[in-house]
Amino acid sequence: MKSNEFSSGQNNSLILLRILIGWHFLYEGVLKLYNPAWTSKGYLLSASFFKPFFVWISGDSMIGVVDTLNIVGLIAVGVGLLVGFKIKWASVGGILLLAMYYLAHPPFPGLEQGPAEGSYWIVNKNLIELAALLVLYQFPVYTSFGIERFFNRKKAEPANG
Amino acid sequence: MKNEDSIFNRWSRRDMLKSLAGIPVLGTVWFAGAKLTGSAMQEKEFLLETLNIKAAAPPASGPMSGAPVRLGIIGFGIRGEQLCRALGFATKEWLASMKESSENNPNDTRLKEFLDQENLNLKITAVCDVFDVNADRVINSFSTPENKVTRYTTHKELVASGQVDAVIIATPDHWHAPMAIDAINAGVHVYVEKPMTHSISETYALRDAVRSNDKIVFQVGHQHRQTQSFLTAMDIINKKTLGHISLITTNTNRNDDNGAWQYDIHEKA
Repeated sequence: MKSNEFSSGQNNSLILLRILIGWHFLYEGVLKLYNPAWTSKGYLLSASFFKPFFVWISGDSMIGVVDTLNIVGLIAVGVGLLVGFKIKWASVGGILLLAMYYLAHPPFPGLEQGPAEGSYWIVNKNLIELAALLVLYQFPVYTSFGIERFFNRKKAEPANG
Repeated sequence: MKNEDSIFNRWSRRDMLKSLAGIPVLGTVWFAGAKLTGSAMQEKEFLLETLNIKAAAPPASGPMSGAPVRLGIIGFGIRGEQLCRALGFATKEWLASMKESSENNPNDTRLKEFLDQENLNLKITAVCDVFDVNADRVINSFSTPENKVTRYTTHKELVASGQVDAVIIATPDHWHAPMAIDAINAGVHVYVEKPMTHSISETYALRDAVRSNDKIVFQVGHQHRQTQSFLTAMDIINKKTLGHISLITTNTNRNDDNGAWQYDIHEKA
């Protein structure tokens, strides 16, 4: 059923990457969904970059929508990547979310760094995960291990065309 | 037609399993996230319940019916003005500056928060302040057609006027106790700013005054003690949840001009 020219090793590595990122997004989303006290307000208010924007979206009139969008976005991206549905959309959504997280607290020299489990200069794990999603967006990771193949029968079966 | 139906024929069971393999992973991650969040919250609830700690809300304010409480302001400086705002009375100057500020900055909700305050059913009937500018601001802003604020030159005249049920004392520290004692002895309820007194002997004198006028409500402006966190802490201490507490230390640092109460002197002062 291989519909591309990747070796199975290449294919499986991409799928593994997809599952791991999906896992990560989904778990973050579910934790927030089940914790009624969770809010992104603190993270946004402490933004060290684009501060006016992040402070604006953390305002009382916006924060409810922002939190809901974040939870829905995280879960949607996670589910999409895990079950293999609309992977390109999920990748774009994940990239947008990660770009926001990155830009609120970018590890730029001279900016105050919040508590982190490692040491970063310009590049941090948000940025790496973002780049990994860019890879998933660029490669046809939907052809196996995912329900998307049900919706891509023609693509998956070029020989029968 | 044949092609439409043939998806299950063309794909092996292996292919089908591979396609759907993400769904159990999804379920597992979801279940783990939901369960861990739930158990963390349950653990917190369980701890609070086991230790019998109640997060006590501050008592609700009483019924606001009946005739309004007639209030006298003794000392309308920075703190006196803040206290009046907390009671629902803002000066015209403050309202104008907040209106302008909120128009320039939609994030500035100070005016809205002020206007949203509950009505405490009181009226300001009298003021005593040695500084004409402050006294005039009270009269200009808080007088209404039915209720003109009267200025008194001494606190003794104010508390003896029969025009006030209660006073707020927000004067310099050394006046707190003498004014509070005079008000209590005149049968007037007192809210006095901290520090309550300026010397130990004053403290005893004030305590005697309060005890011998048991119809008087006497309050000191330690607002933190009415907050939920303090009430909960009191609950924990009273129930000896932490055992016998022999020492509590706290720190505060107000290392700036405002913290040291260094203010500009008014040009007319």
